Amino acid sequence: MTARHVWAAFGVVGAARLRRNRFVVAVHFLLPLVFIGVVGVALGGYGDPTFVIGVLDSTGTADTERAIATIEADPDLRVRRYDDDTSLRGAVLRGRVAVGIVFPDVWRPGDDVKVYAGEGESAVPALTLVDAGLAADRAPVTAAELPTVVAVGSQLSSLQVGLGYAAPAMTVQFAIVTGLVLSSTLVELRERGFLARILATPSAVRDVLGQVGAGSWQAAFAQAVFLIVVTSLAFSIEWGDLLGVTLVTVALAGVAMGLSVAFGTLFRGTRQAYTLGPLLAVILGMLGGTFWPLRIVPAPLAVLGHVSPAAWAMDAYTALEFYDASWVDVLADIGVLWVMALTLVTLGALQLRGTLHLRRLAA
Amino acid sequence: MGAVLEARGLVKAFGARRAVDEVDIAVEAGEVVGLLGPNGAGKTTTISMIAGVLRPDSGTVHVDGLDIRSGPAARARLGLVTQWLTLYHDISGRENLEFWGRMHDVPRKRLRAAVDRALADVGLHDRADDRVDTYSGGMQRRLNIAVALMHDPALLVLDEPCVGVDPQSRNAIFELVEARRDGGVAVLYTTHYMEEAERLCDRVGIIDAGRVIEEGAPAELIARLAGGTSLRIRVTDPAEHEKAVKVLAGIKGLRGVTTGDGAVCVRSKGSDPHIAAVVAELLDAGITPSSIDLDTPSLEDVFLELTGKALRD
Amino acid sequence: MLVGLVLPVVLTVLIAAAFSREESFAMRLGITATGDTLSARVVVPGYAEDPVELIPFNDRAAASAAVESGHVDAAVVVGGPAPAVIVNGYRPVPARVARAIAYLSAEDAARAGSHVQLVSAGGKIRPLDYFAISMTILFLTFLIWGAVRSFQEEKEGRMLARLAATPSRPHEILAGKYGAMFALGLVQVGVLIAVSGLVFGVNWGQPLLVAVLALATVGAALGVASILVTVPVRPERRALIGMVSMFLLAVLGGQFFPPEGLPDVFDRIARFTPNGQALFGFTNLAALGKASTFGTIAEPLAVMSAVACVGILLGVVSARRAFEIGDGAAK
Repeated sequence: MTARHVWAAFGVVGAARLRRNRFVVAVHFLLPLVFIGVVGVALGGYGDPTFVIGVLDSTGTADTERAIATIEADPDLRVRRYDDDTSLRGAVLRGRVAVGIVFPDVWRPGDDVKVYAGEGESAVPALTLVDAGLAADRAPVTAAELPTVVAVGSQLSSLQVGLGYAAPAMTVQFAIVTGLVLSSTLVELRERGFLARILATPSAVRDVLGQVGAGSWQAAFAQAVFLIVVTSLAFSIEWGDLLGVTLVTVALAGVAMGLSVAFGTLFRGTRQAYTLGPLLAVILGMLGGTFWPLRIVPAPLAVLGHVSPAAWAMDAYTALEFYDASWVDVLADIGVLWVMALTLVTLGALQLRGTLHLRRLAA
Repeated sequence: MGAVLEARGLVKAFGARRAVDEVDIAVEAGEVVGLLGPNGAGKTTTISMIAGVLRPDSGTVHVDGLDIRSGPAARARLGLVTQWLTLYHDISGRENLEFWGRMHDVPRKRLRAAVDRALADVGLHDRADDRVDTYSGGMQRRLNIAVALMHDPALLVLDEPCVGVDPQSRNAIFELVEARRDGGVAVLYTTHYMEEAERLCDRVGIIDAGRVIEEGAPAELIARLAGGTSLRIRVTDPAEHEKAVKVLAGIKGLRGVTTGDGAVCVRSKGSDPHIAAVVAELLDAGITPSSIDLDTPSLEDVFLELTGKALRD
Repeated sequence: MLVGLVLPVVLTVLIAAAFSREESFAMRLGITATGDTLSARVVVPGYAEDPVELIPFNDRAAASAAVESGHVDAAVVVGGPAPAVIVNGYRPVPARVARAIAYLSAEDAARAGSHVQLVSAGGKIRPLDYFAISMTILFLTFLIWGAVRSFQEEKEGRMLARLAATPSRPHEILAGKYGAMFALGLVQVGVLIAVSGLVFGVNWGQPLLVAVLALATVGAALGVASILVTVPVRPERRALIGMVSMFLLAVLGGQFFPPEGLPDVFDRIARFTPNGQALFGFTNLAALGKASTFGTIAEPLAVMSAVACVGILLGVVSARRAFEIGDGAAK
């Protein structure tokens, strides 16, 4: 027997809710874009190779201004000014600046300056360049003495790099959010006695479960496709091999489906789906590298992170986007995603059988 | 013609407790059968097994000759009205019915007409396109009943449909059930309100602690088990109580004379309360009755007689 | 309990662990030393431990090809007349490390510091400190949001109208409600400060200033939640919108990212978010320790107090209305 009428039934509810909640639905599509923008800009900052130099210049004489201008002229340095010693020191301590220069009340070229240094990787090389900028009594460092930066592969600005990472990252993140939030569909059916009532209709509960899962799959897939298309067009992000991206996205939506079914049997009340759902999604995302690349975290944590489906999806998307991988190269990731998705669905179905006392003979 | 519903030997235990114990129920077309019992007697468990929601430990359920567990065809002949509301509150009444119509596999071509008719049947036509959370409690109950009507079931099973319903909605529900019955539908109806059972049911089964302990037409059960009318007679001079008891004990057709609460109580053996004889004999004995209250027996009394408990404990 | 206390601790550990190697990223680095032979220990004193794997290449072209193919994360060409760093545009983090290494190896590294009196800033905020503070603020906003949302449901469910029928006066009821929510937030912050101090050794800074800032932060969380709760949607949707807004504010406030590489624009945006101000205030207190003064937290205090006042005022006004509706319904 086909489950077409079950699909049609949920289609009625889905369409009715879509009609009444257009704004909320739009938010579900637009919000990830906002996150991509914000996270992209944030991550882009980490890709910016210049060193930030904090400067406290309370006098502002021609000499200090000239020295600051010299530092600023170095393409590898950026100057951020501070108004007081405490703020500058705080900025050094918080890592906001590589070093903090304090010009004394009377300063002439060749005089010493006080420099606050943090313990970051940036301090020493930045100091080298700053010193070069301040040294008026000797020849400045020539360009030939300093290493030039040669970029291979695509030439991208740091913002593009940030967005390039944030786009797949937030696509994965929001697919997981969507899956967990849509567990509310099953929670509602379960807790308000719909499922028991459906047992008394010609429709089978497994069809209903299938439809609930498929609904989540559809929503997550539509959201992901929307994000991929919009980020391609608006941010010029090259997602890579089309077939590969499609297969990963299909599998990612499968994970959303699995989450919606599994957590639909666990959450108590739709409110839990709406509150704990996003929270859990963010934790899965952080583990799986949606807020920062897993390659920067210590190896044990990167391994642990792969308990989260986000890690596998990110591995696949980034391989396609950054390393010109083909769909064959990401088949293993896709396979793991599907194993996770189907395991979640199975666990959910078993849990549901347990809670509903569905000892009815198979129809 | 065979029964539309035939349930035999239904047993369901939860742990050591037998919630339903060897229950047989049969309902014919055009008949309303009530399952009357207090909360926790096993009514909902019985109905859940009949509707195929719960698998019995033993026993069989046939609807229109088909085993309810044999597949969709049997369940397509059944309309279940649950005690709880199976409605989406954030969409309209019509959309809810379209959802349930689809779940009952009503073909798309017939769906619109079926929804309209069900809405008209429960008197919600003018509010059909409003969101359900704007409905009153009674309206939501009526919509919950409409859920079970669109596929024209041969058997309608209603589980306490009038709990928490205002009198107006309650009447509408009664009329709806009667209309369906008159249309040849077999109706199984559970309630713990005896008035509902007396008004609607052609037959009632009295259920207590999981067993059907009596069965029959309401009037017949009352006549057989609850005895006749009880009379409560007050006399002007309480000192004459003893004398009155003797007089009343001598009247043929009365039984069980007692005193208490400043009155003399007696029951008629049959349905005739023998008021003329009571008044005449008392006056003859020089006793003047100041008031006589009549209390017609009900299924409540039947239940009390059978179990020693009130229905609404 | 789980959401309020356990999750923040777990997340703090998780994020702090993620960034615990920010100065020594695990990477494969190609090295092409022209001229002098190059000792890795000399070139990369800070990276000699293990995270940087040095892979020698004979010439620049081979190193370049290796970077492009992803075989190594970046390459440095050192020791010759034309030092260079070869990076892949998609790999910002290794690129930055590679540049630092290349600078170090440049001839003029020897001249570093000649005009500079190097002063230690007095330590550094560890990732653990930073994220302990960040997660405390994040989960405070969640907790307060939950409390304010149920209060809103009491308003809508006419619970307030029912309360108005008791001998308590409306202002007493409101004061009780807000007082209880305030206390709840303070308890959570207090517990998290204590736990992070004892378990992770996080030093939050001068107790009095921390306490003052904590009060303002709880107030601001109440204010933000009270403003958000006025968005006219159904209760289930409200829960979702609230969670999403909290996360968005957290991201805008820079709470999920270590501060080192965040672009300047975040400094400006974060100033407009109460949670960003709280983070700024608490991290400065933690960083400056005894050197912090009231001035250190003046701006966070001002901004958060303003948000607290506006939000709570809004909440009180709408609660007043809920009392009045109750009266109307009673008549």
